[in-house]
Amino acid sequence: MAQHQTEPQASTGRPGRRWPIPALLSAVVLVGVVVMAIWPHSWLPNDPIQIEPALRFLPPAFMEGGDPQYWLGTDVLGRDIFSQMIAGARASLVIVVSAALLSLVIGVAAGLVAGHFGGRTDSIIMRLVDVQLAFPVLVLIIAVVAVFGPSIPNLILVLALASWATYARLVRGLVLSLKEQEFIDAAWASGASHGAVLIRHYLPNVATSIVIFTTFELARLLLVEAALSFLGLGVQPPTPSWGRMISEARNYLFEAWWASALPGLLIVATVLAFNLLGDEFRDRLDPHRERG
Amino acid sequence: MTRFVLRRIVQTIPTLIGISIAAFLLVRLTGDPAALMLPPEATQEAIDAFNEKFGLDQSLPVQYWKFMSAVLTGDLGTSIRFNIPVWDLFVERMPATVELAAASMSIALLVGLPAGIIAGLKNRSWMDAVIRFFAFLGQAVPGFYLGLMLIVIFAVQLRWLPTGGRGTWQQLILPAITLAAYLIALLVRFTRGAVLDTKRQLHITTARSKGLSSWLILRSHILKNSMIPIITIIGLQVGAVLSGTVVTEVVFNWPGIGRMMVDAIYTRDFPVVQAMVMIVAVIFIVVNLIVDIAYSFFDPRIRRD
Repeated sequence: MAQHQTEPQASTGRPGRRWPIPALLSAVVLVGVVVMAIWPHSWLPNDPIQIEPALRFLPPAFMEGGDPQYWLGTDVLGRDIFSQMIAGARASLVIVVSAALLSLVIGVAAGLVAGHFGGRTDSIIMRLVDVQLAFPVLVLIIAVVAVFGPSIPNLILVLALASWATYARLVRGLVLSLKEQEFIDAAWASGASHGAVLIRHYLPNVATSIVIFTTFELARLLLVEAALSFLGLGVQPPTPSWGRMISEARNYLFEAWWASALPGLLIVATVLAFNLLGDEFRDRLDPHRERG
Repeated sequence: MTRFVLRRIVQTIPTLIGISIAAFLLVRLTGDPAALMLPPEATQEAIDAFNEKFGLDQSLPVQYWKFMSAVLTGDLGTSIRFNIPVWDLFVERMPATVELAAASMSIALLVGLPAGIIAGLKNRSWMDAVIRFFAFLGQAVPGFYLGLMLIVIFAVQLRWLPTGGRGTWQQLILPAITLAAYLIALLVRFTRGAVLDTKRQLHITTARSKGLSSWLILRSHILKNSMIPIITIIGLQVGAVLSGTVVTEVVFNWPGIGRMMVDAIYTRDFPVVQAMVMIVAVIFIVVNLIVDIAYSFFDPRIRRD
């Protein structure tokens, strides 16, 4: 398409720059988490939800009294910790990724419309954004989940509704800065409709910023989801969940510290990986940013 | 200045109305508010009285009007579990939360500011690398997990500090550190950035070429110019602190408003949940307003627009 040739290239980046080790490690961690999430439960060394009271609080195999069959030990109900950690990736990832995509769609659409049409539409949307951002997110989510119940669709919906506003504000700002550029004028001059201008011209030019922001957003949502599970307002038993594993083990810190310590490491690693990768994307894709 | 302050105050009104509507609908949307807001063993008379007070057979706008009239006259509802006004519960629990928040904000400032300044002044040194590593870690560790691991180390293994509760100063240390960790990480990243930005500006080069000592430049030029963005960032984190107190208070059995809210959810004490959502949101808005006004006071450029 000829008219695209005059548009600024969104993602030329810095060719030839090598990927630093933290970013590579992050990518490996995230691929690992995805593999864990799709790994069939029947292929795990032990059934993650099988309760074995006789085997409760087995220490990890590398400690005294451990059993190689349960190489990261067992929890208060005698369930295998290693198998639960792998199986727990699924619920977290499904909730966090779906919520991020849903808030992205709502927020980007709202931001494009607000920035493009301006005027009354803009002020109504931005007022909504202000109201949304004025709420302490966790408190809002806790209240909504408490009233409507913690099913997975409810969790996705409430996380998305608590997160769309930042997307809207980001995209609106970008659209306003693109508005006066020549390629937008050219698109209008060639007779493009509102929809075509929004989707074919604005959207590709805000995509880079959206990708960078979403990477950080996934880290933040994972932390919120973990906190909800910890408070008993996340995924419900028997579905394995990292946050709930930690919460269930917290009254037994004297007997079995590993039951809460080990699942937490997975949360930390995943959040760290999203954040490091987000930093790398930003340095690589955002030509305006100086490196500190 | 006065016009700016007035305009900012007026701007919070739609937000406050939005919050009251959200809190109102939250309970109405489930279908039967009387079942939610009254104890399960409530008599038919009590249910009728409740329905009449909020006009539950009337249209939603009328119900909202009655709800708001009650709220504005100071009636935030009555706790099902304790059978006392929610406001009294809030007043009783608030000091614990304020104590925790103040302690953790002080720790965050005492640790985060110097660490951020060192990282910014000596950027790309090994000290910078170490500080940034911990800042990254601090933003990735869930608060409840950090709290539990501190208990494992300092209460279970070393037996230096108690596992929870409130009363002695020893009991304040672990929860305050837990709540401070995220703030420290954030403060380090912003302070470092602000110091780096200021370092690049022309007047610093001028000061250097005049032969001023590094310490003098740091104190009278870099720090002075970095303080405004840093103060703003701290102020804007009140929401994060309020959310953080919820999990921290649960982990350490700290008797503040965060734990009160979670307890209210577990015991289905919905009048408390509804009132707490409103109170917390209003605190959050008021603090944001104060930060905004203070910010514009320090930096007149903000007031135009």
